[in-house]
Amino acid sequence: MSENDTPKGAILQRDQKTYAIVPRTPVGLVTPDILEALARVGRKFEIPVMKITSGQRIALVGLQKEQVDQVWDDLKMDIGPAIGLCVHYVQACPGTAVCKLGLRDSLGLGLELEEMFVGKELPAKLKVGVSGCTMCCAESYVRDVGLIGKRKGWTMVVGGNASGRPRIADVLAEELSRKEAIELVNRFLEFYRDNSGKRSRSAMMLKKIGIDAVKEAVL
Amino acid sequence: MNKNKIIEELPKGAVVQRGGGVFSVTPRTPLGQITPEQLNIINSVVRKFNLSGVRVTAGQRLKIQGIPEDKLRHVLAELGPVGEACKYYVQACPGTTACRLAMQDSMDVGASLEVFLNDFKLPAKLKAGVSGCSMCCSESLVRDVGLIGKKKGWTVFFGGNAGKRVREADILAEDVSGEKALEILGRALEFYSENAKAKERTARFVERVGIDVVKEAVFGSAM
Repeated sequence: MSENDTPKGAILQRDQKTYAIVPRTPVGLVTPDILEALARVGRKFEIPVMKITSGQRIALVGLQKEQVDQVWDDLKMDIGPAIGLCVHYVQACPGTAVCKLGLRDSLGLGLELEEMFVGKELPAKLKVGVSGCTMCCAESYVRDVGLIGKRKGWTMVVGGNASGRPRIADVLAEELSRKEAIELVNRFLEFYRDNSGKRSRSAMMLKKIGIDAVKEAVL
Repeated sequence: MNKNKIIEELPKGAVVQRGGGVFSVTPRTPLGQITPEQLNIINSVVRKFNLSGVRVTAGQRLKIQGIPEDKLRHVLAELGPVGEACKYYVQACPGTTACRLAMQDSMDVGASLEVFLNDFKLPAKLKAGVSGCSMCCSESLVRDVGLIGKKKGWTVFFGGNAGKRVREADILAEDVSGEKALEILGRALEFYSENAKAKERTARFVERVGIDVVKEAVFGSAM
């Protein structure tokens, strides 16, 4: 089956017949209406598997090809990128909104970043983690772009990875205001887009050129 | 530690939040699997008690937040078995049940691991990740306990962490069956339980005692 036959926002599964879709739920926030919509389509289309993912999303797995568009129509939700070469998701801990330990508003910054960058085309997939304190619950040091809330501002780290060859992200800048952090994420993404080979994740770029070259270019 | 005492007395699965007097509950959804029925139960509770909704966590769970203290027990009662506390969560990718790249059935072994871990009483929190292939979508190398499915079997990892001091996990065994992997992990976790300091995560424990000591404890007699 060619890529062109793949229905909207769908990922072909192992059986080469059924598909999975992942609705967009920025920083994992799900309203009662979304919960209801997910439960409704789950039942109506007898979706075989619903799975909460590590990317703070809910995947619907095992859809028949002709069901994909119907399910999207019924859900009335946006697609959460899951295979494209782009910003996939922004993960965030609850931060000052809820957590006892939170020093910064990670949920707020995470939402703002999600809004601005999800879907942005890049050389490879990109994951972002925003943590409200140094406990680092959004695993910022093993994300392509990580932000960590400290008393004096945000620390931004880049080039981390949590896969088969983990890499600890390098510190790009410290004590950033929320506005400065957003601007710097933007500058970093542009630099990455222009300076990394196709399918080369940010960790590989950092390994190749080093954090000093990145600092020089974006700071 | 007055606060700890209060937390201990809370119904299972309830956690204090910022500001005090407001709680969150994380129902047990092993490997992130959830049914429309469970979603409906959670949703009816959210609506009935006028809560803002849920947050999907990176641990493949749903967290019901902002529950006022006076409603907490009612929320737990209405949630029923869905509200059963999740002790040590296991993260798993879909593996051979759905993914085209998978080498092993990560959902099946992940489910066994979740049940297996539930019997342990460990010194600190523990996170586990079961990945069906070397793409490692469950981030097994930065979890306390990690499994990666390869062609010939499972690779067993121990002592990883993705928090403020990232640690890449060490390999305990390669090419073993799912059953054998659990057996090995069981021995490693027993050794960890007996010798770790209170609240010491596996990563810090392995750093302190060294992976060779852990390996000896696990394989000592068998080797």
